[in-house]
Amino acid sequence: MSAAVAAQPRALTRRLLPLQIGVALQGLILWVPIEKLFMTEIGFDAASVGAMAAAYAAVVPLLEVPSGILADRWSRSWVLILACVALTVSSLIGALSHSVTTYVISAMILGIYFAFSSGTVDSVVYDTVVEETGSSALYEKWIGRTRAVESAAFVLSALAGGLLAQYTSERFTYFATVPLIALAVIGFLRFKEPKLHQAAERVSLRSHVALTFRTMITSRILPRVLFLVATAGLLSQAVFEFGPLWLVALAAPAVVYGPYWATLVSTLGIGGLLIGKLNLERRLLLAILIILSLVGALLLSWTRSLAVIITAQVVLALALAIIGIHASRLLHDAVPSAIRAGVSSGGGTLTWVLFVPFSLVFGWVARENGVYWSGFMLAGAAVVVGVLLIVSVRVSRGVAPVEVAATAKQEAVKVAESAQEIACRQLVELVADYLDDALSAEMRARFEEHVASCDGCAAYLNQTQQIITELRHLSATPGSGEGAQQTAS
Amino acid sequence: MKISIARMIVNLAARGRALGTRFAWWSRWFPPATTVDADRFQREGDPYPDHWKELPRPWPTGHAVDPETLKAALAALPDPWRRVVVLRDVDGRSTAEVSAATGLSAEQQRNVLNRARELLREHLGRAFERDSHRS
Repeated sequence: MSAAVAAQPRALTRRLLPLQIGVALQGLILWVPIEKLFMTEIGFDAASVGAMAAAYAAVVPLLEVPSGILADRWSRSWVLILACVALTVSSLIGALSHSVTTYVISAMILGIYFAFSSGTVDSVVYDTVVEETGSSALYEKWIGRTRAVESAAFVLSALAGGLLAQYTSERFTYFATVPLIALAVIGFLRFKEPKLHQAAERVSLRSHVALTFRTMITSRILPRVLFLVATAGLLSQAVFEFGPLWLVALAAPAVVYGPYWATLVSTLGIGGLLIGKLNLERRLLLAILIILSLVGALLLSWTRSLAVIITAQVVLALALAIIGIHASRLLHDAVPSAIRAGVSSGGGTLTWVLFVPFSLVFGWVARENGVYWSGFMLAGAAVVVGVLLIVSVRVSRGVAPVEVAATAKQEAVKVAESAQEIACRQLVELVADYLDDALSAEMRARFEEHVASCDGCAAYLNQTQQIITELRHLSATPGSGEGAQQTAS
Repeated sequence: MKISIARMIVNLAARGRALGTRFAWWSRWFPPATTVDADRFQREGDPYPDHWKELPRPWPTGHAVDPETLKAALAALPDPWRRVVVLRDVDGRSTAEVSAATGLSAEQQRNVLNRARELLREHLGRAFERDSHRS
């Protein structure tokens, strides 16, 4: 059966292709590796870099609501296109910037891009997979592929951007990005948006909020894990946002920025690959990760060697990538599925909220005392991450992880097997399997037992069968059958 | 198709922001999409968790399903779902034939059929409701 589940319908591959092309082109932001170099050139100091990061980080949570409403009520493809337009405009304003003010405006427009595109690609991939295959079984595989395409684009653009800046100028690198990003719009325009809206997000407000609240106050582990997720995210963000300032302080040549950024970005993908191979239940491994991130952060304050600084940042970024994924898994396991998405959204928002004051203080300390001093803030955050990691892992050891099923049907079968009976909610997932005689003998017996004693499910099954009968009659009606066949081909 | 403000807020909360840096982020997790709205069932803490909150309304006996209504319901399905329903339920093709035509495995066809038939059932249920109000 697992082989059948893994089948890749051609239609799905074909349909997701333009989306992936769009995501790849949108990932070719050439100016990212040399951004801090350019900013320094047009008059930024460490404090204004921190203020820029804070302004941008404040925009993102504010736009979460409007971007969600647009995606729900209008079109998700067009939200992606708007994101792309925002990225193009931001790059263009950046390219034309000669002062701190205009560049901060461009960074805030970049916030629009981030708020609009983050999460939208995921939900569009999810609904497309459900629409083409009837279940979410292939979602992980396809979102993984999309992320891999995106990461490859990031690495490629980091190398290309560094070279371009070296041989032309930083400003030209900004201009060169504009047409590439604008091309991504074509990919999104050619993508056929799923008609299914938020198949994944059917929850009622009251029960959702009540359950979230109840879990928050009764769970011992949840608050700690939530903070772990947020501080690991904060620290990782700080490395990516402020890491290049060390290179600026050491007057590193432009040619270094490309490979440096490519390596830093690739830690995100490598972390994802490594987490599958590492057993983070082992204390020794956890201790190594914590020590690595702490040593990495401290080295940033101690050394003045460019090679050591870059290595330390890469090690820190990699350790944080692994800790971040592990933390989100702990979060995942600590809450029931009904509120999982809401809680993880809370973790994400908390990261942004913490990041605003963090970057303001970081920038101020860096200007007053040099970036090496503000490096201690990273070390402090690394200590907090380490402590939270130790306590959450210790507490979570007693908690059995909530097993996650990829599809509602798998979940239904699992629940029915462990409860030795089928409830209505599980039964409705199994109707087509029942009618196709694809259930195990045991499950079939339970199914029939339930229908015999439940008026609701008897009516449900009866209506479904009635529909199948009527559908069959449609083909007998002259004219309509052929019309239907035409739609099918 | 009226979406209430409450539903919209929940969707926003449930959307979930994936963690990440300014340019790269982790993938979002979604609760598995269910065939029937999770709201239609009782939750933990209710007297009968996972059972119907309100039983599906029985359809009027003796009233045949109007083919035009059924066709309208069929037209409202997402294209890939309609394709499978037409091949399997209208034309009565076999699973193997449909696999050859669409590339969908038997399992995937059943998943599509289960959801698509539920949408049709809901559509027809609403139509019966409207008729009973009119008469």
